[in-house]
Amino acid sequence: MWRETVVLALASIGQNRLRAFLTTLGIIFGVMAVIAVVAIVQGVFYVYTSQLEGLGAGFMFVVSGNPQATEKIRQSSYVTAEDALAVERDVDDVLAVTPYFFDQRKLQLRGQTADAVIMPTTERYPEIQNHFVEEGRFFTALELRTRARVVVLGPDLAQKLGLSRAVGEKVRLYGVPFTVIGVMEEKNGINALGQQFDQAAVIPHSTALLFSSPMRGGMLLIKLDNVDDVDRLKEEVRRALRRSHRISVGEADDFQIVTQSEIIESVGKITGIATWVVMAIVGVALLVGGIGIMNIMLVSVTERTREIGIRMAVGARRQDILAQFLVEASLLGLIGGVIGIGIGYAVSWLVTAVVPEFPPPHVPMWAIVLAFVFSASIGLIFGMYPAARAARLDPIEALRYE
Amino acid sequence: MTLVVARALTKTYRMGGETVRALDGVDLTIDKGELIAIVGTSGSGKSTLMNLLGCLDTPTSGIYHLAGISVDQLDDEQLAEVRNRHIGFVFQSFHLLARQSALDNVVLPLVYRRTEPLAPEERRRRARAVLDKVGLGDRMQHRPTELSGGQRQRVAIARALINDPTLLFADEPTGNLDSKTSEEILALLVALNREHGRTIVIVTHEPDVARRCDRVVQLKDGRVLHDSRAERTAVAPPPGAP
Repeated sequence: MWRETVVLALASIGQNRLRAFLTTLGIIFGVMAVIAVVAIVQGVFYVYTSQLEGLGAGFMFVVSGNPQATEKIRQSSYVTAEDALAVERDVDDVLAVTPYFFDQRKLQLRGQTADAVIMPTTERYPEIQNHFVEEGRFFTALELRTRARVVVLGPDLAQKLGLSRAVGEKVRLYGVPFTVIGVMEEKNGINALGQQFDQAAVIPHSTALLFSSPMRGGMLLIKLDNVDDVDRLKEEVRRALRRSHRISVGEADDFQIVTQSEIIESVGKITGIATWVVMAIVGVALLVGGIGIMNIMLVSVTERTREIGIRMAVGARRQDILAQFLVEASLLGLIGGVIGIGIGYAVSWLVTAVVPEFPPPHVPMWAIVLAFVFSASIGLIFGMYPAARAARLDPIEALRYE
Repeated sequence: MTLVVARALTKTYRMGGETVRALDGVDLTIDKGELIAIVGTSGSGKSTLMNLLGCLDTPTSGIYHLAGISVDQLDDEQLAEVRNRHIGFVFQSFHLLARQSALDNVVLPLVYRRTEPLAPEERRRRARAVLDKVGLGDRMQHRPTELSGGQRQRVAIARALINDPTLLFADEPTGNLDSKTSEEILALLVALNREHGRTIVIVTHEPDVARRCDRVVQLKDGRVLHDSRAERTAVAPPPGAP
């Protein structure tokens, strides 16, 4: 019986394909908007959290500047390799610290030019970021101390320069030659400053300071040895940095410490709010879609009055007629939902493809299930009134209907 | 064997504050194997009588027993069940589902069969057999619009027969057909009665059609004006009758 009802409903929808499509437009747009926005928002969230989780459990970031501090502090503050050393030295449960800051430069090789994200850091970077060299080697503590002009290229960057064997090549950076000593392994995604790993040119922090000053926005990435008491560690790091920055008692910090879990939490909060705001807007779209379905189902019931009469005459019960129209309405909603999910997914891919460096969309299973259930229930709910009207028809009247 | 016992069947409608007696105390008994014509002018109540006997409607008062079932006591759902298993309808304007093939139209009553339900393959097998019997074995996949009037009415007859009904109702079955086709359809109905013992009630206003039946019940103003069987019974009781 159910099989027939579904086949029947599909056939009936198939008879009026254009009408069914127009009817479900509301649902299609609503679901499309949900999926697209959820995909994009969740994509951003997913990339951030997986990045952060990829670092391992115990992490802390120190960001230069403090919006709550005075203007003077805000302008002068930055975090440096010296801070990194101070934290490593003074806080027991810290495994390693690496500074880096954002700097975008042109990299040249025999007339070829490529945009590179300069990542000035220390020799501890590979173990802290869980990101190692594929070819050649990373720079050493000695090279860091002596401000050596060496560079480790991200794989995309090496490829852009047309380097198949990059190690030993000389590239021009800041107008001076740097020796390529290694190529990093592939690591998709972006670092905590939003830089793409595979586009980066990693150079010693000290060398970078010869050519550019650490702008605000630089940060320390602190890997912890022990995550049992992150709050205590946070306080110790804070004290070490205050000493390193010579901040006297009563003065505000000129930096901010953010733990890994705090970041994940705040990113989650923002994406959560965005997701629910969209859901609310989309609720309205689906309501409109539902009314569309109700309208067309009422038309359909009227058009098929005689058919209903015939079915009743050969033994269909009222509940059979009710089921027939409810299934049809639900399927209309469901079909709209499926199309909406498809288009929404396509739109989210399009957006992330068009906007450079945007993380790929991520559609969580719950969004798809929700879209399915929601669109089918919209059909079901708004199909109830037309279906009840069909089921209430008097068979004699219905048979006589012209 | 008595299939239908109707006593003082009455149906009244309210029409703009006025009560209309469409049927006014009709007594009727139908035995198995009868071929009956119900005749009367428009407004005589013959359609109302057919709707009541066909379980499409319930009487305002009176008793109706069909094959031992007290139909006047049934609710909507049970009426649907009785229509499905005991009644077959053939209508003047065929009343086929336009978008479905002849075969699917014939299968339809089996889809709504709930007692001893049949598997889809078995339903189609039976429908093919019945379509063969009415002479449409080569038109099963055609839609009603691709069939002639006579062929459509054959599909409708096949649909009415598919559940092996206790009673077959034909409401002006030849009303939309030319005289040659009318004759064929009528011959088919008569053959169903003669050769297969089908109990058939034909509602008609055409004397030619009524003449082909064993018994004619004439209605006027919602009452039985004339019942040829009652007359016959009164004149010469059949052998073995009490």
